[in-house]
Amino acid sequence: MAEIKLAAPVGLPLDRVDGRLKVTGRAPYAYEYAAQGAALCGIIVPASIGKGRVAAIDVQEARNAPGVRLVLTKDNAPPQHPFGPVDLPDRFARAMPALNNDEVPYFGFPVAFVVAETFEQASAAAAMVRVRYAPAKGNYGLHAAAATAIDPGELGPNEPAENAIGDSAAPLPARR
Amino acid sequence: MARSSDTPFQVTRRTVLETGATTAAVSFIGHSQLALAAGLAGDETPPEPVSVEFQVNGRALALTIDPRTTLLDTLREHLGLTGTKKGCDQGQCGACTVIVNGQRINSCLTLAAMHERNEIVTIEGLAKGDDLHPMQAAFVHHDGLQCGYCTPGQICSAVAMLAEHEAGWPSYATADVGTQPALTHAEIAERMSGNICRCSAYANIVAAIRDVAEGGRT
Amino acid sequence: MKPFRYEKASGVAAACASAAEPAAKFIAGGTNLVDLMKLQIETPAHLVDINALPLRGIEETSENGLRIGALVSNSALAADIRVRRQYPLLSQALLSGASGHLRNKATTGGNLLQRTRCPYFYDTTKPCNKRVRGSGCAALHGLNRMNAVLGVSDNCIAAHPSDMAVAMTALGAQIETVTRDGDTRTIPIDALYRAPGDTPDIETVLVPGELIRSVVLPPPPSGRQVYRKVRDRASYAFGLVSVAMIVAHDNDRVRTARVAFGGLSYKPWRSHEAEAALAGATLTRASYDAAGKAALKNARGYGHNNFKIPLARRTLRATLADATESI
Repeated sequence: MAEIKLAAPVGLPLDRVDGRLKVTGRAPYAYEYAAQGAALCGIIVPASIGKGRVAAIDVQEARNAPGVRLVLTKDNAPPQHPFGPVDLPDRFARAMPALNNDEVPYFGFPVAFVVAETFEQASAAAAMVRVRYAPAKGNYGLHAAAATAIDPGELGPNEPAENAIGDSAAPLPARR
Repeated sequence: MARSSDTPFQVTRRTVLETGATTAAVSFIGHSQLALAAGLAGDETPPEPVSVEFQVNGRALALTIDPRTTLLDTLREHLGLTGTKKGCDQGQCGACTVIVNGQRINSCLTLAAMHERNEIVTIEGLAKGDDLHPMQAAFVHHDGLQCGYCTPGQICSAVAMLAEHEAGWPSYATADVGTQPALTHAEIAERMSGNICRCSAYANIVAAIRDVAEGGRT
Repeated sequence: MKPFRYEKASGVAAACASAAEPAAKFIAGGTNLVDLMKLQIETPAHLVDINALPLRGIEETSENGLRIGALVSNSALAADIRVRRQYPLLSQALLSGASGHLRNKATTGGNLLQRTRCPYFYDTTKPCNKRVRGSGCAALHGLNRMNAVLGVSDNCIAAHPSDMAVAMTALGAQIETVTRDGDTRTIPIDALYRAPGDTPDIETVLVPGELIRSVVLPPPPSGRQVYRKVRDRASYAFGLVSVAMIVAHDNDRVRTARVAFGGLSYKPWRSHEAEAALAGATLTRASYDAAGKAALKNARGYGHNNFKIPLARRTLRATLADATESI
């Protein structure tokens, strides 16, 4: 293999500029920028079925629980851009709405969002949300579903999709 | 020890950081306690707040909090000490590692109320002013981090782990548990197995720990 | 977490009285209970913190055994020089479990009483007879890879996750308890756990408010002690199968053996069948295979854990080979 010559500073043993902050616990991540106590806490209530619909959702007890400021469901969430079809030109930038409608596309999909003053209150209230589902039949086996998988045609402009299934059990080709 | 009167006062993170006295007792009426009384409906019974006193990084504290509050959330949400991280909140990642009475624990799996009179050291308490703790310096020198989210937990865990080894504790990697083993790579890896790193800085983490262990700079 | 009243117990009697009330629970290390409370699998209305009770000692008994206080941490127990020298099996088993952090907090009593990690016990969206009696067992036809193969029923196939308890079972540990009325009793570890039967929600013979005070180990039996744990990862993972072994042998034969399995049942599985097969047996592969066959004779797989049966036999053989330095 040809030797690769690195140009400085690549390859030099430099200390990370953020190293000191990170090893002292003073690097602020995400909401750690917020003033202490100023942030409310939101907990997502995840769907407990793999596919189907939310038939009914009861948030009365959660709404009245100590410290709760807001419970969002499909019934009161602000309208959002729908999740578009896969053949959009910009399919990787599609909107990913939640609480938009009663659809449950996968296990754990958000069906409610509970916001309270503390983490403990939000967690406790989230457990009070009662959901009734209308489950639908789903495909949970990758290999079984492979035969009817959607071929997107292309991944992007001038980027055709390649479909091939290899033989992972076969030995790897010999090195030259 | 100074104690607040019947009138509680809200202490902000800035107050905690700027208070110089190491033995000042600060009374918190936790954010949660104000919230506990508000927003009740019908016959809801509020959780009774509990009072607990412990030391964090040398500072004596007296808190009144929702008993459900874990030590981790107490540090992060009520004491402004966000250096300790919440990675999994179920004792499986070690990002929440703090040192209590000299021993490393997962702060997410313990309630603050259970730590009366304990001495707690967090990542913020390891450096002495501007001087990094040798383990912190070693992590920087050996680049034992990338995103840095597991790093406070790794460092606290490593510091306490060296103390365990110093005390002669064997590990599962020790062939004969009756002996006191040398701190080989296998020993370090086994003893640090409770701290996971998604960025996979493991090789450099072990190098950093080895550096401190062999330099005797604990 | 549901709200609860937190009480720091100042004495054993008061602690037991409080914990005997309905919906009250002891908390010691909390490494299992706090986790379960966050998920609302455990929902005590009253938490009795027993950490201040004087149960942290390890003392020699008059019979040259060891009495271990219920609040001794797993780390302290594993690191105690008497345990390391006389009961290395126990030290090894403890060290094979969890992580350093968890071992520092987990206690002897808590480790015995920890609850299963069956994924369906943990998934509150799935039916579980252990969580809610009569609701069904989702593990039976589910992904039951980590579940039991011996001694369980179609109502519950959960496995006990402890390593410490397996070693203690092989060592013949006795559990000393006290009730709210001050009555004390001693329960052999093998009699502590109840088979799931129709009531998998009741896991031990302890009555409400009964507190484990200590565990007594008889003097160590003669022979080499080995704990062998097989798991998906090299560390920090529950066992698929484990073997606690004490074997005394001479040049060509086993004299006596003690065998207990982890990961196979609702409790550590002491195998008198294997022990009987090994008594006087030659130090050969054939002997070890026979012992394994006897031990797992009544084992039953539930679909995804069938592999545990041959794995347990092979692990027993490997442990015997290791312990006797044979084959």
